Amino acid sequence: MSFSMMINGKRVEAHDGELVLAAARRAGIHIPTLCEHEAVEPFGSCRLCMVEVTKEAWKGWKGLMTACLYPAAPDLIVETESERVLHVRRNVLDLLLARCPDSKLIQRLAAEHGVHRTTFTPRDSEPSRREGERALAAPDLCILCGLCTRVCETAATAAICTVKRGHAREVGTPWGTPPPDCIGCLACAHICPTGHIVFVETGFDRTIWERTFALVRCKDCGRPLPVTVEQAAFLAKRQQLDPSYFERCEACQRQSTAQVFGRMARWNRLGLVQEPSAPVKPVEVKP
Amino acid sequence: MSATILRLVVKPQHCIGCRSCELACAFTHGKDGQPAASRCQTVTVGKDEYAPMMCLQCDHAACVQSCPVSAIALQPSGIVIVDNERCIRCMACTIACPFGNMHFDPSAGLIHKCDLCAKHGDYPRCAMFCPTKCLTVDRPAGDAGR
Repeated sequence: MSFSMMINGKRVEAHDGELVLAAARRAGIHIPTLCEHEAVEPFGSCRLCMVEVTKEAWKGWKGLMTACLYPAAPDLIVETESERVLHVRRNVLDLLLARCPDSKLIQRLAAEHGVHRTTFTPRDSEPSRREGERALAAPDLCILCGLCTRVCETAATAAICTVKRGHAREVGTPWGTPPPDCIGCLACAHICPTGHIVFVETGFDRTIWERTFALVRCKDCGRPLPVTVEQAAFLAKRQQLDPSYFERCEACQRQSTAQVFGRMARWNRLGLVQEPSAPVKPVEVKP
Repeated sequence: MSATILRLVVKPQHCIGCRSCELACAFTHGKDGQPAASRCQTVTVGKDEYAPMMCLQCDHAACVQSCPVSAIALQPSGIVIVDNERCIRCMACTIACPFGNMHFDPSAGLIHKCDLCAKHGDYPRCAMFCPTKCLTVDRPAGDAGR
C-alpha cells in the first residue's frame, strides 16, 4: 500500500515498509550517506543521514532520526536541511574528520558542509596502527561504518568483522591473522566508502588481508580472470551453478560466440537460412 | 517467458566491421565516446568476417544467476538491467556470461551491459547508426502501440 508524506515541504509517495531515505531518493532529495548500500541491510552507523521527523499529532515535537533506518509512515513530515539537522551533520563530520584527517571523501563532504578543519584533536593515522605488520601499509581511513563486514556477511563468507572494543575498535580478521574463510572477492575493498581496505594484484596473484590468492586462469588462453580460485568455487556452490561457469575469460567466450555468429552468416550467405522453428541441421560448411 | 517489448535483431552476414555500433553506443552511454563505455563489441571472426556482439537478454541469464546480491534482474520489459547502486563489483557476472557480453569499465568502476537504450529514448542507437541494417529493431505485434 502506498501513502503520501512530506519531505522538505514536497509531497512524496512512499510504500509500506519503505525507509525515509529510499522515499527521499526516489523523490530526488539528496541526503548524504556513508554507511548505506543497497546490497546490505541498513545499519545506521555513520549518522550522516540524520533528518528531523515530526507529525501533526506530535504537537510540535521533532525527533532527530537516521533516514536510513526510520520507516516511512503516513502523514510523516521530514526535514532534511533544517538548521538543527545541519548542525548535527556538521558535528558528525567534525568528528569523522578528527578520526580520518587524510580521507579525501570526508574532507570533501566536510567542506561541503562548511567544516574545513576539525575542532577536535586529529587522530594520528600513520600506518603503524596494527601490531601485526600489515602487508600493505596505508593511512588509516576507516570510519568504522561496518559496510565491509556487512557485505562480507551478505555476499561472501563473513571472513572479517570489527575487533577489539572502545577506541581500539577496528575492522580486522580473526586474531589478526590472514582470514581462513576469506575468498578474496574484493567486495569489502570495492564497497569501502573511504578506500581504507587495500589490495594488491600482481599478475596471477591477489593479496588482501595479508592473504595471497591465486587467480583463476582462463581455460583457453591462460590469462588471469578477475576472480580467485576460492571465489569461483564459492560462487558456484552458493549460486548453485556449474563450476564451468567460472572457467573462461570474457574475451574467449565472446570470441567463441562470434564464431557461431560467423558460421550463421556463412550459412545465410549460402542460402541455408534456417526457419526459426526448425531444428538446426548439423551441416558443416567449410569456409 | 516475459513479455518482450523490444528485440534487437542481429544479422551477422550483413556486418562489415565498421564499428559504427560501438561508437554510437559509446557516445550514448559514455561521456566522450570512450571505447570502454561501449556495451557493444565488434569481433573479427575470420578474414573480412565480423560479428557485432551485445547482450542477448537471456530469459534464464547466467549473469542473473551468478550475482550474489541480486543486482541484475530481468525486467518485465524483457531487458536484463544491472543496478550499479546494488552491485558490489565481484565480477562474477563478467565471467559467468557464456557470451562474454558483461563488461567491467575499470575507469568508471561500473559493470556495463546492453540495456537496449532503455534510458535513452527506448530505441537502440546501434541499430539507428548501423549502415547495412545488420542490426535492426523488431517490435512484436502485440506491443506495437508502445
